Formats: sequence, C-alpha cells, structure tokens
Amino acid sequence: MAKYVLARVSFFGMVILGATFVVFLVLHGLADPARIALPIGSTDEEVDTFRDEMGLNDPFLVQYLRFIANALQGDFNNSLWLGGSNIDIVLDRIPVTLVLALVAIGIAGLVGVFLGMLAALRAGTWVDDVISGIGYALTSISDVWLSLVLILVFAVNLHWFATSGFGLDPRLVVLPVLALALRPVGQVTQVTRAAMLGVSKQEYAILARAKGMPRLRVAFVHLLKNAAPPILTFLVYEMGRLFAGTAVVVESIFAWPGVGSLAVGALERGDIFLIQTLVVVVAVIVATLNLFADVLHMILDRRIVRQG
Amino acid sequence: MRTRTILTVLTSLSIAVAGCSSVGSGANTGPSTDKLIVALGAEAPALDPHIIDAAPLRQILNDNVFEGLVKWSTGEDPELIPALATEWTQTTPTTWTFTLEEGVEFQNGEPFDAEAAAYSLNRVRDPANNSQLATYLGTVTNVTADGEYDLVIETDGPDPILPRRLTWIMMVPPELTKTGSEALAENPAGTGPYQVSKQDSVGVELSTWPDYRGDVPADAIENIQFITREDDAARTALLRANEAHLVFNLPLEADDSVSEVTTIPGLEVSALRLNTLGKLTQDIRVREAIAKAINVADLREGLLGEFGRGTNGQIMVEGVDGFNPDLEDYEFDPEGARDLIEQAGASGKTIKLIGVAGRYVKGKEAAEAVAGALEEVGFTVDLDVVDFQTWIDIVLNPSPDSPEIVYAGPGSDAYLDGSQCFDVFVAKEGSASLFPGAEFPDAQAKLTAAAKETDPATRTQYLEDISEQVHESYAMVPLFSFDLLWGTNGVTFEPRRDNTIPMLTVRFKNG
Repeated sequence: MAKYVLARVSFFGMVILGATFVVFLVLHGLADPARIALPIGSTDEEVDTFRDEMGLNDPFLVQYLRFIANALQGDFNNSLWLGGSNIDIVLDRIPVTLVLALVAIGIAGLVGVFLGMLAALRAGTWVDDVISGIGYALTSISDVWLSLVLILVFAVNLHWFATSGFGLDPRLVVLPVLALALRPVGQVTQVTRAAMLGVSKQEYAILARAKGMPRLRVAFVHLLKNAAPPILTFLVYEMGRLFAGTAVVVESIFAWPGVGSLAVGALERGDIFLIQTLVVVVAVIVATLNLFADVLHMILDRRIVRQG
Repeated sequence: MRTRTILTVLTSLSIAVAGCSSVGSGANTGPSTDKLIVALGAEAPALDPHIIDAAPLRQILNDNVFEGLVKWSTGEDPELIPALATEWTQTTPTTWTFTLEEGVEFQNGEPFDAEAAAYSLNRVRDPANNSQLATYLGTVTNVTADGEYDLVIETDGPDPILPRRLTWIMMVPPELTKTGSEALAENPAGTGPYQVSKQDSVGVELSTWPDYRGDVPADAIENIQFITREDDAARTALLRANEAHLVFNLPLEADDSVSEVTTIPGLEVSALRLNTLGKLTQDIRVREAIAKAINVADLREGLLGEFGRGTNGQIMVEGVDGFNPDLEDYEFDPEGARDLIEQAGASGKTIKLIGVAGRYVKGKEAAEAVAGALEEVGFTVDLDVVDFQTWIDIVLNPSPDSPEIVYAGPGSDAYLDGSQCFDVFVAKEGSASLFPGAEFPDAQAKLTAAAKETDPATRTQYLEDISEQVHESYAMVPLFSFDLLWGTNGVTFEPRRDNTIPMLTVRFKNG
C-alpha cells in the first residue's frame, strides 16, 4: 500500500501542473484582463502601462513559468478585483466552504445511510418505494431552485430562518446546509441501498440470518460493515465535488463567502490571477480528498477481506 | 417502479406548491433600528479607495469614510460642491488651484493639508500602484503643494472639467498609506463623518466619527452595516424578510414585491453601436433603416415600465453637459425603413447583432427585441448574446471588420459630462469608436475644441453640436435609459445619480 500511496502522491504534482497549465492557456485566450479591470474610457496607453506593470505583455510561456516559480514561493500576485494577496483571499475562504461541505456531507451520510438501510431492509415493499422515490426526487432537484424555494418558504414567509448571510448561528446555517445536503442525501440513499442489497446476497449474510441472528444485528454487524467501503468513498468523493462545484450555487445565493462564490466573482470579472490561485488550491484539495478516498477504500477492503 | 415514479412526481410537486404558497408570515417585527443594514449588489474589494475602481467600494467609502476635494450634490440636478476644497479656479489654461479647508485631520490623527492632497493624487497617478482610477487623472502632468493649503494641478492642455474628474479620487493619510495598501485597507482612515468599526467576511461596519469637523445631525444614523448579496433574489428577499433597511441595485422585477422603492434617473444609456466603417452598416441608409425599425417607446415601456426613460435620440441623459434639448428620438417608421433597405440593396441580407448578458439592465431582452424588430423590416439578423469578457473584446477593438451592430451602454457617471462617452464612442482614437469622422469632420473638431474650451457656455454648445452630429450620423442608436432603484424598509435618504448615498442623509422613519 505504501508504494501505491507514494505513486499517487507523485502523480499529485502532475495533476496540479496539468490543471494550472490548461486553465492558464484558456484564461489567456480570453479577453484582456486589463481592459476588464480598467474603466471603458481608458486610453490604449493607460491599458498598456497597466499590462506592463502586471507582466501581461510578456510571452505566454514566460508568464506561465513566472507564475509557477512565484507560486512555489507562495506568491500568487494580487487580485485585480478585490485587491490584496490572492493566496490570502483564497485561504481565508476555505474554512467557510469546509464548514458548509462537512456539515452537508455529515447530514447526507447520516440521513442517507439510514434511509438507504431502511429501503434495503424493506426491499420490494411500499417503504422501499417511498424512500427510493424520495431519493430519486432529491437527486433531480436543481440547487438554484431548491435554494430559492427554501428562502421563500422558511425565511420570507415563515421567518424561521434568515434569508441569507454567513455565520454559525443556526438561523444562518440551516438553509444553506439543507440546500447543499439534500441532493447528496438522495445519492447516498441510493448508494447505500444498492450496496446493502449487494452484500445481503453474500453467503455470510445468509448464514447469519439462518443462524437466527436478529435482523437489525445482521444489518449493522454484517451488512452495513461490508457495504461501508463504497458508501464512505462516495462520501469523500462527494465532498470533493461539493468543494469544487456544487457549493458555488449555494454560496452565491446564501452569500456565504467561500471558495465557490469567490470563483464566480473572479470569473465574472476576468480576474485571471485570482482564478489561477483558486485552481491551484482547489486542485490540491480535491486531489487530496480523492487520494484519501482511494486509501480509505483500500484499508476498508483489506480489513474486510482479512476477516471474511 | 410505477409507484416510485408517482412518488417522485408528488414529492416534487409538493415542494413546488410550498414554494409558491403565500403562507401568512410568522413573527414580523421589522428590522431593528439599532443599526442600519445596507445590502450591496457586489462584494467590495479591500478598503483602499485608490486601487480598485468598483461601485461597492464607492458606496461604502466615498463621502462616508473618505472625502475628496469636491463632490456631487444629491438629487436629480447635481452640482459640484466643496468637500475638502473650499474653492477652485483655473488660474492659467493648464493650471488649476484648489484652496483647501484648514484644520482638518484624518481619523488616525495625521493632518490634511496640501502635501497630503498632492500625495493622494500622485499615488493614483503612479503606474507602480496599478491604480484602476489613474485614467480619471489622465490629463494631469503635475501635482504640487503651494503653501500649506493651496494645491496646484497642472494639465497637459487646458482641461476645463478637471474638478469633475476628482469626485471619485479620495484623500488618504500619507504616513499610514506609505506603509502599504494593506495597512490602509485594514485601517481606513479618511476625513469623513464615519469610521470603519469592523470588517470581516460578513461585511463592513461603520460608526460615526466623534471628531468629524462637520455637522452631524442629531437624528443621523450612528451605526451602519454593509453586507453583500450578489444574487438579485436573495437581495430582494432581505427586504421582504425585514432583514435589511436599504438595498442597492434593486432588480426591476422586484418592484411589485417590495413596498418601498426610491428612484433617481440614472446616467447610463443603452444603445446600439453601428459599424460605420465597414460591412452593410457603412451605408447611412442602412443605419437610418435600423434606427427607424425600432419602436423605442414601446421597447422602453415593455422592458422597463415606469422606470424607463427616453433618450431624445442621444447617448447621454438630461442633466449631463452635452445633452441637446432640441433633439428627439428617431421616428418609428417601419415602412420608411423597408424603403431605405430596398434602396441600399440590403433586403434579406444578414447583419450580426452582438448582445451581452449580465452587464446592462434588460440588455439580453433588449437585444432580442431589436433583432425581432429588424427582421420585421427585412433584415436577417444573426443574434449572438455573449458574456461580458467576450463583449469587452469586441467593443474595445473597433475596426471595419467589427460586427454591424454591438449593444453598448455609454455612461456619464464619472464626470456627468458628455465628453466621457464622446471620448469613447466618437473620438477618432476612442477605445470603442467607429464614428464616421470623415463624413462629420466638424464633430471631431468640436470634440478637440471642447476639451480645451474654458468658457462653460461655449463648451456646452460644442458638446450639444456633437450630440446633434452623432444623431444625424446614425452611428449610435439610443434605445433607453433607466432609473436607479433602491429598495427600502423604514428609511429615507438622498441618493446621488452616480449610485452612491451619503450616509449622513439616511434617516429611520420611526427613529
């Protein structure tokens, strides 16, 4: 396993380089960031001076290599949109997205596993139908629509929660977490149900039931334990997806100052330096999570294989 | 499986019904009057007023925390009034002298004097600082202190509107600022009536500065919190849920759902820039046909309702120097348009129309409506609604190969002067200009003359003449302008046409 982990870590660096190169290429093919940053009435001379100061007039490869060299020293330039150091801006935002994603994944894990188990244990009955129907519905819902409906119903009409805003007050946390967690709840329900049904057909499960073991004990001791690897690895992968994508919508609508809303703002304003910084940081995070998921899966599988 | 399908549909429908319901509200206590909550439509950058040119930064800082030498008054007919300068004169054709208010201090104790003012302006001008506001001082060649309270600004030619260019340039404390932009941003110390009491990921909080030199009315609001809600629906929801008192950039669609709306005529015109140098539109008959094909009154009414305003066929609005009161919108004459198209041999020919999403109010919808109107009179329209970055690339690289029609939004918010949009869309070297200067040499000559003309009445006449020539050229087809909207919840205030509010004018209605 050590060799596997080592190989994956070395692959890490290639992933980061590859992602940054592609994004760098694409961004520099887009419109001139100087033109976007400066007022429309700026003269060509003013724009050129600005580009010179920012190093944007240098050849593409020179700019890319300078970016890599500076990045290795922790220098990611300043934001054209927000001012200030890009790496500081991004690192400031990570905890916000982390809190949102962790809580959402936690809820998705607890609720989704519970519902999935229930559906599997009652497979073929109306309980299974209801739960599976809810699961399908939740995976089909649009994040934007769900967020706005939650705001309209629970904040504007019922005044139970705040419409938006960041903080650890439950009034501020519940709606964005729900908006982010409900779709993974549906997905985890389906994954758990499928995994549980899969392992329930294994010989050890049949034997346990034949021995008269209580049904719930069979479910937790044998079925869930053996169904855990795909569920856990799905949760970790989903965490990466939330970080790199799904959180964008929820953060934007609920005004949570995380990496997602930052990425939207940077893209809208053509802040290439900030976008490049975001790509590096998010790529590191997602690659780390994926690596963790792979290792976790290996560990869980090995244990189960040894005990089996 | 059938059961699951039914359940899926039922679940979705029930959520939809809940979303559309107008259940009676729960506890509705209204926003507290302990603190004014103001929602902005975009995130504010670091609180250094010199580096980033951004509306949210102006909305928080300008004339609240920091002050400039001069400022615009509030209301529909703004005038340039003293701020930190008590008077100013053009002492020579290329020199302006500003007399500064005496005995003023910054909030960190540094004195405000001519040296501090010179430092502030030179900081913006210094290319090493990468200031996005440097263009507003583009005509300035030298800034020096002449004595303790006289500031001398030299320009590279006569600049009769230099004072207007200074309204967005704030004065900063030199010693603090010299330690770095971050130092200033973390401890913004201006001369204004408010100081920054807190800034974090939630927003920026201001409180009245007890040592402010001016009058602070007894009923002025002491504590203000600026928060950001970029999503239009989320920002509107703040008002409906009593979570904010004042919301900037209220979307037009929200008007019916919000009980209090304050408006002021904006300074931006939505218009079509036609390619006069190449392609089909280099023929003035085609351009005139495009102008006559569009019913701008109906377009304005349909898209903007009561918040739309006419343009009198010009790319600037009433109240801006250069607005010609004798001009009117182009006549809506589809039959005349068809005749002109026939004469020009353009019937059935394809013209490209570039629209832009998310940049101008109702921009996408207006572009689509224009495309429809042009097809009615016989054009084939290739409509392409692009993102802002692509649009910038197209509009700021004008050439005979440019698309026939590009949606644009000439604005006059920086100087309230026609030169702001003429310099861009009409001048020979204008960054977005495709004006047929060769056919209208007088326009370019008058633009050059207006830039140097120190007599206000003569200058105004030059600008109005240019408006007339732009109108006659059909180089730009103005569609509409619109009001700025603020949603309010229990407050009154005095807005400015550049979409800022001096916070000392805000009052709680029941305060």
